[in-house]
Amino acid sequence: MEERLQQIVKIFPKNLQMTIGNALKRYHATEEIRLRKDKPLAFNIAGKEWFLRWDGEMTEQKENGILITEHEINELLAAAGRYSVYAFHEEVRRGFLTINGGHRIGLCGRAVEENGQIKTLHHISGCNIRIAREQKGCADGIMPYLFEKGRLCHTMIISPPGGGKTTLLRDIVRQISDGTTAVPQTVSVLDERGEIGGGGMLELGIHSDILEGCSKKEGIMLLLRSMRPQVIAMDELADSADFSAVWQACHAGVTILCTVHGTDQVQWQIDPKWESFRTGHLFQRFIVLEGKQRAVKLYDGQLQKIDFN
Amino acid sequence: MLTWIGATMIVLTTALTGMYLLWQQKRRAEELGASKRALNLLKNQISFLAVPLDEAMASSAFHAEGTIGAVFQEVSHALTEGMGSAEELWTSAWLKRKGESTFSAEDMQAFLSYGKTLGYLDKEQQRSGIDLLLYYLEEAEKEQRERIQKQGRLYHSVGIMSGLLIVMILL
Repeated sequence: MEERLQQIVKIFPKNLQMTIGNALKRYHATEEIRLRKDKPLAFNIAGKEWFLRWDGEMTEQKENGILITEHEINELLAAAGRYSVYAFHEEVRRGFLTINGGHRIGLCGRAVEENGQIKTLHHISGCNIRIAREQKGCADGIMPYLFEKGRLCHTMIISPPGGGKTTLLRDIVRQISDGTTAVPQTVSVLDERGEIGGGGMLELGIHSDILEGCSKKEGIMLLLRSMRPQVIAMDELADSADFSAVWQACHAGVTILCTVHGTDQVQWQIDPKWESFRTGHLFQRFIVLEGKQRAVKLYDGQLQKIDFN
Repeated sequence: MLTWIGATMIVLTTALTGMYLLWQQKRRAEELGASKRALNLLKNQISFLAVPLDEAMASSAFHAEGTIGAVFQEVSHALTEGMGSAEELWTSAWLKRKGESTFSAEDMQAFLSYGKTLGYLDKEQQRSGIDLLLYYLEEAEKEQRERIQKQGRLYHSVGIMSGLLIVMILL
């Protein structure tokens, strides 16, 4: 089994490790593993949810699935947090943990709020392990269209959660860094959640520098000052602070590659966070990933569709 | 002639026993000191760098000496391999060395108790847990060094005198 998938098996309680390992080996298209307290262990395979049986087979009958206890969820989280709650406190507060290999574990439980902000999560009742994929070459078709007059365009990838944004971003970064389409460029990857590089287990090309665990605002300034990047790549812009940091970076002479959650251009035309980008025509390429088939649509800065392939 | 050789051997044996007991006392003081230094390194790794336990212990083990260095190394490796929880691994690593080290039963108890808080509390509480253990080690080392200073010569003389006493009784 791949080293990256072994990282997932390792965090499961001992009694489940063999069954999970065999299932991951057998069902290559597994996208997510969901654990919910007192409910059967679920595998999301190619967009459909199945329940795993003790004999390693998948079933649609929930009563035949492996029942998950609260204790097993706690054990899994302790292992995922490397038995070091203090080191992952901030991630837990934000509702996720990223393990080696770039796999992200989303958390659900009881939130403790203070001054309108989540202070921590406890009594975790469910978690969702999203398996990081490395699909080298998935950006091949789109790469030539990300350049204008030989210069890489500011590019934003848009899709709903689980739509393949990070996988595509990773491959674009790798290709720019290795110079598969044009001259290699120095790419600084701002990997806030450790998902893009997967703790060094996912390939990002020879000319990439990775800054992990740092917010967009702080990270962009640090990279601009210290790494002299030609391109800065980052995942999942979320709030106004992120957008404002990207706005600054766009004006600092580096090219930005980023992703956001969204469905189609309609949403980002009406969202106030986008105002400055829309009016300034800052981004020159928008890649929209749609549906389970991950159909790719490409738009230019004027929101005109670009036909490719 | 044989009598004198036997008598010399008895005195030598008891004198060496006295020296060995003193060496053990000195060794315990050194081990307590080494543990203090290693735990300070661990504390810095946790409180300033928020490094996960396996990495923090591996890094501290690199500079640590004695039993605690070996424990850090073993726990770090086992944690990386996912062989159990931090508390389980810490406890088993110390129990494995129970007979080998010069730590007293009280020292062992202090190390084992610290293991109960290992990893699952926040940074502040991790620091408090280490500080508590450091306080114990500081006091224990101080007492041990005072004892060595006071009783160091006693071990030598009791070793020789007891040998002479046995010889006199036997003769």
